[in-house]
Amino acid sequence: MTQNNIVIKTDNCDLCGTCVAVCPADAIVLYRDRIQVLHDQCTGCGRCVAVCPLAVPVQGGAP
Amino acid sequence: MKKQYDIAVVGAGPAGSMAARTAAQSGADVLLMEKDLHPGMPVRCAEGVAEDALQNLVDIDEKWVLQRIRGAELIAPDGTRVMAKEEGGGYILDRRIFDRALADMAVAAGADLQAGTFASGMKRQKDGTWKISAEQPGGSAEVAARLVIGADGVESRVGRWAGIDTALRPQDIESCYQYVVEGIHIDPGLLQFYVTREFAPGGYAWVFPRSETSANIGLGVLGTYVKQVNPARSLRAFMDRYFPRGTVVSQRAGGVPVIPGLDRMTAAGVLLAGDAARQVDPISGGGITLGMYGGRMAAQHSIRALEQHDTSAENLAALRREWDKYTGRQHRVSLKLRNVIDNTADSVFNDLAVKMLKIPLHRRTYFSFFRTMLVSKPGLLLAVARSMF
Repeated sequence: MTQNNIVIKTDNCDLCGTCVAVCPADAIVLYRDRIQVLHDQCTGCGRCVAVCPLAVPVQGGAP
Repeated sequence: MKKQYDIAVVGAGPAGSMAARTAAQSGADVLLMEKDLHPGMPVRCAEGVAEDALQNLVDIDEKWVLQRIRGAELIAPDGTRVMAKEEGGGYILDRRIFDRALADMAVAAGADLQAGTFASGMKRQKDGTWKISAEQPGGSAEVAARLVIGADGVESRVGRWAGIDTALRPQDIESCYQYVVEGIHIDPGLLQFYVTREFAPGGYAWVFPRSETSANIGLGVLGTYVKQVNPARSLRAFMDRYFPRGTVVSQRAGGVPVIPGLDRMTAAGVLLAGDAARQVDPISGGGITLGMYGGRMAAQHSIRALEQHDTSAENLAALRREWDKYTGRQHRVSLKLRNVIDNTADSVFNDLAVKMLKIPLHRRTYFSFFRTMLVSKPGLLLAVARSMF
C-alpha cells in the first residue's frame, strides 16, 4: 500500500469501465453491479483518475 | 450451460452476438456469455448508425428504430450552424431492443446464450483449449472452449488474460457523459455535432434525436483533458447553454476508444472483437456496425481455424491483416486528421463554418468539410501532409 493508493468511491460510480480500459496493470475489475481495485496489482499510476468521467477514483485516499 | 464448447463468446453486445450468430450458423457449438442479466441494458451509447453499413450486416427491423436520420448539422464554437449532407441516411436505434434482437438471432442460429454470466478469468490448458471461470447468480462454474472470442467491451479483460496489451492511454480514449433529454424542440431528422473546445476538448458534443421532443445529448472529452474539463459537469453546463428547458430523464457515463484498432487483436485460441479490439471510428467514435463487422470477422476466422485444426496465434493473426484491409488503414488516416482537428483553434472552425455556408447544400459533404478546412488554412494542409508520412 502506497500513498498513491487508488480508492474508488463506488456509490458515485456508473460502472462504465473507462478506468478498466486504461489500467496498465489489470488492477480494476468491473462486475455487473460493482467495481473493485486489486490493491496488490495497482501501481498507483493514476491513469484511472485522469480519465474517469465522474471523478470517482481518487489518488492517495485511505484504503 | 454445458461444460465444453467449440467457441465461447464473452459479451452479448452487437459484436459478440454477431460473432455467436455467424459461428453458430457455420455449425459450431457456441456459448454466448453476457454479464448483465438483460442483453442490451444498460445502454451506454448515442445509438446512431448509418443505414448502408447496417444494411450490409442484417435485415433492418423497424422495431429497432427510434428515429430516421436524413442529415447532420455542425455547430461551430461561436454557434454558427452549418447543415451538412449525409452520405445516405441513418437511424437512431433503441439499443435495448436492437441488442436483444441480435442476441435472439444468435440463439435462433443455435448459440447457447447465458445472460447474467460473468467471466472472471481464464487459463490455457495443456491441450490448447481455454478454461473460463464463470460466475452466475447462484454459483460459479467452469467452461472449456477451443476458441474464445472476447467481445467484452471497452472494459475488456479477455485480451489481457491472453497476454494482449489492450490498455489505452488517456489520449486514446474519450471520456463521455450522456443524458436522455425530453421536453426540447428539435428537427428529429438531423444529428447535431457541436465542435466546442469549451465543453468537449479533444472531442465533440452531440444531439441525436429520439423524436421531435427528445434526444440523446452527450459529449466526449479526450482523456488528456478530463482533469481540466470533467465530462459530467461539462454536460450540465452545455445543457444550461443550449437546452435550458430540457428535462434529463436518465444519464450514463461511458468510455469510447479512439485508436484505429489494437495492433494485436488475437492470441493463441483468442480473438477480440468490437470495443474490446478498439474497432471504433477514431473521429466519430461510432462503433456499432464496426463492432458487428469485427464480430462477424472474428467468427469467420474462428471457423477457419477450427477447420484447419490450428488455433495458434500465428494462424489467427490473419484477422488483423483482414481488418486492416477492411478499414484499419483508413482509420489510421482518420486518427491523424483527428489530431490535426484537435490542434485547430476555435477561430478556424468559426471561419470554416462561414465558408461552408457558401457551398451549396447538396455539395456540403464530410469530404468538402475537410477540403474547405485545408484550403482555408494552408498551414493545416502541411500538418496533414506531415502526419501522413
